[in-house]
Amino acid sequence: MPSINELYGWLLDIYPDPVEGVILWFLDEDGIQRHRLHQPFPTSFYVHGPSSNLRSLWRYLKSLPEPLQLSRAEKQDLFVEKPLSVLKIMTETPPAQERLFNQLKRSFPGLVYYNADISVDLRYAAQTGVFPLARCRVLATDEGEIKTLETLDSPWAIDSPQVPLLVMALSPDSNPDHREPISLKVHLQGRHYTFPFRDERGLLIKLQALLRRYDPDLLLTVWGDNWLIDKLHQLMEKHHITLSLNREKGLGVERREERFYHSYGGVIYRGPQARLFGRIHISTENTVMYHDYGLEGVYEMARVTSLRIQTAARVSPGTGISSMQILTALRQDLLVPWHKQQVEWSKSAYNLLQSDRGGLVFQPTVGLHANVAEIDFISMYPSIMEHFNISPETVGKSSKNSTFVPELELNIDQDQRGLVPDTLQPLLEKRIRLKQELAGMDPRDARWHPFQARSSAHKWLLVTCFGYLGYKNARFGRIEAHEAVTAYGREALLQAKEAAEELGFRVLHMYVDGLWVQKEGASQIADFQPLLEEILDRTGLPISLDGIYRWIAFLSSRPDPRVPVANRYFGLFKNGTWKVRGIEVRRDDTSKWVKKVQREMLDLLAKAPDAGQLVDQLPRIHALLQTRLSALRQRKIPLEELLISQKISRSLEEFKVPSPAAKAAAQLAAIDKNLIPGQRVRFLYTRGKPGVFAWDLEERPDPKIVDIDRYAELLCRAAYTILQPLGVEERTLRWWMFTNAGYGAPPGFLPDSCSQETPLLGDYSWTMHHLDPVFFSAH
Amino acid sequence: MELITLPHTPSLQLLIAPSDFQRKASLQFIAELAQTGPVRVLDGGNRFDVLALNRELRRRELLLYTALEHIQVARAFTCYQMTTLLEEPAPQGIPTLVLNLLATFQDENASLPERLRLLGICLHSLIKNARHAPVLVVLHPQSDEEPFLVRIRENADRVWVFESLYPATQLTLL
Amino acid sequence: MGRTVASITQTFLKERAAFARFRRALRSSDQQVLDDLFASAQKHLAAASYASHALPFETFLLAMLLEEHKEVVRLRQEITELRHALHQ
Repeated sequence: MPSINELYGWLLDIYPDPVEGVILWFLDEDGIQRHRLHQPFPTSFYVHGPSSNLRSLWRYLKSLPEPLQLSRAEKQDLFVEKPLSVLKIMTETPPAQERLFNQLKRSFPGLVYYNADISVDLRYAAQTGVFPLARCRVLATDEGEIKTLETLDSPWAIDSPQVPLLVMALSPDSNPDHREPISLKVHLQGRHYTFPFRDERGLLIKLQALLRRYDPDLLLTVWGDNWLIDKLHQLMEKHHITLSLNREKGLGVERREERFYHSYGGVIYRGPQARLFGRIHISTENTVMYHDYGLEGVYEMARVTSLRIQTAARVSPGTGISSMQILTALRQDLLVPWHKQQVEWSKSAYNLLQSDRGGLVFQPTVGLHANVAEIDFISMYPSIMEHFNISPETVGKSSKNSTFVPELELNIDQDQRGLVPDTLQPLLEKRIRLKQELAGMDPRDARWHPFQARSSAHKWLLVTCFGYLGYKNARFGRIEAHEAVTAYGREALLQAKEAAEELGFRVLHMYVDGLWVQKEGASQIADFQPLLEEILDRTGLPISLDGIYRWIAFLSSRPDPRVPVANRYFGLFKNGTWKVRGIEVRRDDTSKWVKKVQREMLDLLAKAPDAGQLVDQLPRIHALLQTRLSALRQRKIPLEELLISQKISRSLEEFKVPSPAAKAAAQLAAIDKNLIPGQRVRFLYTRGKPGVFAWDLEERPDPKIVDIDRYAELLCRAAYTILQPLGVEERTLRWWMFTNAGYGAPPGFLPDSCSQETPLLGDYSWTMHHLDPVFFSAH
Repeated sequence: MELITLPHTPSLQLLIAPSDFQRKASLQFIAELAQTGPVRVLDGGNRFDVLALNRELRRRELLLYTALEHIQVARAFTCYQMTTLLEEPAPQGIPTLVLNLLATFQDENASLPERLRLLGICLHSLIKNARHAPVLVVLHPQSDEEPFLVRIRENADRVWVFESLYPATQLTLL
Repeated sequence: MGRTVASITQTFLKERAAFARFRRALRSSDQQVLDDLFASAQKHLAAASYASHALPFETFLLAMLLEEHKEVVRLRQEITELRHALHQ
């Protein structure tokens, strides 16, 4: 009898094996040793259909040489009242199941398949409760076969310890899309190495030596998915040197093709993928939201979704949420449909008119406002799903305690807990607990950063789970559930507005799940507390005070100043932090230089002790603009800071009148650097035709061709965004910026040097200046 | 050439027309049918423009909200959903309009043979429904939909094809 | 998932565009005033969306009236204040 070893450690990776079933890699508790263990993992799926078809399937399966276990079972499909009679097919290993299903779906397309396309990480998680980076106790034989696995962690614990993963960072010195890299930078255990690509053999040998010596758990690359891993492979083949990229011997790199798709009106590009076995590969430019939450956020995505770390890093939050729902279904022994089958119920045209709508987006009261509180429903849509038990199988079902959705003719069953709320509940609770912890935490606390990252990861999952509910291919989606959520959302926002107005607040703006309110004399947290409690009381949904602004400016539309824009504002919180939306500094297509100057303008405004004294900063802003413009004219701005980066919205042939981005992309296409829609192109504005210079051409541009006037104009627009709420008119600003005039006078004074035609500040700003410190716009 | 008329007797009819025309025509059909009784609309491509329909109803001086209650709409967003929708038994005698039947069959998530198989089921259901009620399928054919279109045409009792009355290009002043 | 019912903003833009010929034939000074009317309707798109009236243009007309009346109330107030100041 083989002896049994006990191991305490963290789960690193899990993947299927055609012989051994499933392979699991663990890092042991001391953080030193890695263990490759395996376990037989018979895998089942289910088929439903007319009994004659099932019988012929049975006969077919019996004729196959593979060892299969066939049986009849009664299983629950979430969307069917009574349990279904299904054929259960069990294969010896997960790969055998995948192969068989691919064969059956072609040979027997008319049957309904369940649990057929579920990845092994989710299947294993459903059976054992384990998840990536979970601390486990494992009993295994000397041969490495797992006999018992016990999970000692919960993905919902907020204070899970940092797992001491050994990370090896690999970054080429330039973006290969733009320029062939010259060297590879390696960072590991606090040491830095640089290997030139020129010395191909040397690079391979040194890299292999590092891999052998340190055996890193995670390769953190830049452009690894779309370039580096392939490049290393080419070099390996050329020089017959093997790099141990995988820990699993004999396996290659798992590749997925690049693709692009349309989502919410934009084109999303997903690069190709290169995944490893036993070692984790994360390619930062291809990791969704990496810039937002970093590695810690990736780990958190893996913990809460139970997807392999490498998968969790690369999937969209929609797939993350879907995986969590599949896991809930598997644990409740519910069938997981391969295809979504259920369709929208037929409804009257009148009902369609009522239900096919989104959240309420109001137009703010344009202008500058002091002492404004921003109040947000915490994760509004997920909270609604959780609170009102909204799930595809609970909507439209009347029971003893069903509730009636406002505006819609729709019941929601409250007797049975829905799959979607059941999945969301722990995630919501964890997020709220993290937020509470963070609210009272010093940012220097070591837990602050990981808590932030985890909270960001949850935010993305929660934001997506609502859209996913209405997604056409969502297995556990239903359009009526989606519509019920928005209906409750509108109701909650209007209830909040009514509560605010009844308590004497003025509502300046409302946006789907948040409202901005103001009241004479209210400027401290305690002043807004009764309102929060009232809203919680009326709606039952968690709500929080996002902050109190010292002042906030809501902006109007650029083409038509009469029209307010919902999501274009900037405000300074009392604690000195900014919240800025929709203006140049937040936009991806603004040059660094313009962003920098706009940021400097905001910094100057932040110096004003209150809204009434903002105008006193105008002379300094005027001087700043003059200095920056003169630096631009003297060509002292590095070209990198003038780069504009824009997404290509469609393929080049589709442009009738090419945009500057399209012209730049065409320049690149001429030297065989082809960009596809969704990718970004970087360029400079230049004088004459064609007006742009693509930055990633082989040659460097002559700095003299830069179109200075164009950049001055861009700066003028960015400056106007900031100054407009202070009452500065565009023509005044132009006069300040482009006529070389001194500031000389407060707004509204007529300097001696200018004639009547000279643009001046409007009267409006003058009266504003003499009003009390609290500014109200004309309403 | 003939002007298209509304199907009133059980039959499967097909209207092939450019997007603009079929949009207008189907709204007029729906409005006219809703005037006298219930009508069923199956929408395969987010084509059911209820606000334009409202204007059409008002133009006919109809009781707007009564007419809107007469119209039952169900939408399909995938070819699987379209198949399921059509498989649901149609209420006896109530006319059905199927808008943009083929839009959901553009889905690249399903293979071509799979989509053709599903279309077969759809056709079978359409023919079955057309025994008890008028069914009008409205299509705006795309070039790559030929194999689908052929199979629908073969099965329709009557096919209406849009013919342009005017020269395709606008005359300009000299 | 594609929306079937046009959003309130789309509807508004469409309704406004439907008056393009009317607008074109107006004097430039009247065009400005017409634009003001549409801009005032645009301020209440959220309420119009919530109302989801079968004929949204009726809601837009009401929103224009609302803004007009708001202005009347404001002007009345101002006249009262001015009168008051004059008589002091």
